[in-house]
Amino acid sequence: MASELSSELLAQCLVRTLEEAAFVFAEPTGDPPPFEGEVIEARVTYSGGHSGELLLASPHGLAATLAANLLGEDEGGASVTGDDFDALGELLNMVVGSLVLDLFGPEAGCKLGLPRVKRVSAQEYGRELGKAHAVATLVEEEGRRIDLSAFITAGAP
Amino acid sequence: MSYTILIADDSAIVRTMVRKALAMAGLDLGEVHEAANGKEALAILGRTWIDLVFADINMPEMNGAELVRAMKADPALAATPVVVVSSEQTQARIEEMKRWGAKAYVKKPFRPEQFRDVIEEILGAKGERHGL
Repeated sequence: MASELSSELLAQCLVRTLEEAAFVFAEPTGDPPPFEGEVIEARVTYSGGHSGELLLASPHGLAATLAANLLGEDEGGASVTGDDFDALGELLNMVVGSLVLDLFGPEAGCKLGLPRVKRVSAQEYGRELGKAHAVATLVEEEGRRIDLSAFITAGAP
Repeated sequence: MSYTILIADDSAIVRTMVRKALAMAGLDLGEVHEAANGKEALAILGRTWIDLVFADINMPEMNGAELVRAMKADPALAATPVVVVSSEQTQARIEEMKRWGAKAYVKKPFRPEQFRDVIEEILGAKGERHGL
């Protein structure tokens, strides 16, 4: 059964994926700590009942933790170095797969893009966030923030 | 008997995750080859005997669907089983991949048990398990 695009739905998808894939436990917050310095952001496009783009953003430290957890290795290990971009992109890939199923239902024909990941300043990220249709902000056990936002590019949400 | 595996995914992290999950699933792994897209996968398939391919759908240059179709069109590769490993979960997409010739589908995020089940189904590898 299809659901409406909302901050709650984004939060559900992100919480579920973080737990299942990376063993990171996070919950939504209405009072998030500000991002400082640089933010790693991953974007992916999707289309089904409508077209849009998802944006997953986290500080470098959390992305490194996600990479280590995905690989089942100690954080800071040699093989983890440089994998933070890849980890955030892959987590977003998992999130969007789960989200389109919730949004459009199991029988819908959906198309997903390839994740694109880059580093941006916290200020630049904040400006982009203002354009989002829906935003979920979570905080994990160590108090680090991770955001998932959705931008509608065509069609009604 | 050990199996020669090809893992095709544009994410290096996922290729490592699949490799580890296969080892944890108890598959007697021989050589494990990795490709970042369908084109690289086809090049490896052209020069190396591969028992089983694990392929993502969304990859640059040549995606998983194009890879499966290219393998089915090549008599030397048509019988090589392909398992799709993807975050795409809609029934429509899964049926589409199976129609094109994929043998099984593993959803990301995955657990080693899921690989064990598909391997047993495809290769009859029950007697080859060492773990789990």
